Amino acid sequence: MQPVKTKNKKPYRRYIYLLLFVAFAGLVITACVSTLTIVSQDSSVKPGDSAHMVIGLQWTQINYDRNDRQIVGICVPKSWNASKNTTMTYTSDVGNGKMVLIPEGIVDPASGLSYAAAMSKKFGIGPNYINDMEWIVFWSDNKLFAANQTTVNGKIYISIKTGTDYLSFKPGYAMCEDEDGLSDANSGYYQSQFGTCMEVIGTGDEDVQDFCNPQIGLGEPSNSTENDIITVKYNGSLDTSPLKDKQDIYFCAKAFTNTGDSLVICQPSAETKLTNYGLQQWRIDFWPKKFFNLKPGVTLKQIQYYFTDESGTLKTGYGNTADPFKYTFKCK
Amino acid sequence: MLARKLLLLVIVIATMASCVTKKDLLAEPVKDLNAQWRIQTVTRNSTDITQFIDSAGFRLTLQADNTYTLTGNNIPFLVNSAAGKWASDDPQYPYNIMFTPTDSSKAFSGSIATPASRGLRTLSITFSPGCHSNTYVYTFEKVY
Repeated sequence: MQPVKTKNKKPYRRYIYLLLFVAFAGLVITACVSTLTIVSQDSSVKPGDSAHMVIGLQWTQINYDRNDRQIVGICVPKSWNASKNTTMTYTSDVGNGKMVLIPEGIVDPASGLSYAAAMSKKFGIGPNYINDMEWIVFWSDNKLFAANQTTVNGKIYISIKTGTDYLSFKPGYAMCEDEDGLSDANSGYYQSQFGTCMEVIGTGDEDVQDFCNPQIGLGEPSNSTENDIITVKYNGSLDTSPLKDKQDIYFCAKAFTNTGDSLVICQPSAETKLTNYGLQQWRIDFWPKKFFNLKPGVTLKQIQYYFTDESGTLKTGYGNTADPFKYTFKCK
Repeated sequence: MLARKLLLLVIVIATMASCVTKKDLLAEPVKDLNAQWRIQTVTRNSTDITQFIDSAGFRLTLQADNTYTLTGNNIPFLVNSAAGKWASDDPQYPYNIMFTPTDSSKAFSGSIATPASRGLRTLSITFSPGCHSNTYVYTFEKVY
């Protein structure tokens, strides 16, 4: 008798569960679902010219009518000074206009941080390898109305005057709207994407900073003087020489001064030893002024360097060649 | 009539005079920066790099007579000379700290904050010693 009883009850129970689920889901999914697509992006730009990007936005109101500002963040090299060099406009089903820099003091309601800081924390630099990028965040000049159960399509047209540095990087884009911000209360409140590699290279003989591809050796930050703290990283996983399997890695450097001198620090010691910070990842952080014992008034133009083992017999240079890695001092 | 008017006036004055407003004056404490400070954390462009740099020996001593001494500095600071003068702009709400090394007439300033951490006053100095695009925040704790 027992099994027959439960059989009769089951469809009824299922129905209740389904009703409960629908009611609960309705409570949780309150706002809008956002989708971001990269429509187009310049693949190559001359330094100093403008880079153009177009992104598509789509947002759907699920529970009630909304009147919000759309927020768009971009992640680009700091050297572009994009907060001063960007123009952004939008077209949409519910109106066209300008995207303007979010005024100071406006914070992401989800984190309490400024939108730029919140995006930087959440999305970082994406697939880029050089941490010398920043998020700049804009919002629509007007609130955009979208009725419940409607989907709005829009496009954002971005133009940024590039800097003079030669570089290649993957631009980042993010969107949300001002009521929910970067909330994780439910999926779909925000979206971010990084584009393909964009090259900003001229015809000159300058070093190109490649943000897109991993490098065996890398110096940070990209703008600095001898009175900064410089980080040089060694990525052993890309090194084809046996140096990557050594216990200790050392920094062997030659600094070129404004007075035409060169200073060599290439002796394995506590000062030149790299610190391991991950699997086959090493770094050394130093103050060039002290490291090279610079006299007052002497400045540095460039550091050329290798990574070596304790004996100095194993030596890794740029792209596993005999050429050194180069770190050029510039401040723009 | 006059007597009644006068009485009314007296009552009004008496009523007004009876309300003595007493303001609670909560004085903002003077931030005592006179101390020997050691480094707790260092950030460069918002990234914490404390574990990768040699800051253990760094000692900044701010004396009450507005002289400072700097020792064990293996990382750049607002000033790199061992001694000189220091000043802050406001003892109650200090926003800036200025250092003038003995071997220079130029003053170097950074913005400061004095948050309390675990009940102890800390000192954060924000500055750009090298390229203007790089911002460092050194957070100090008191040695004594």
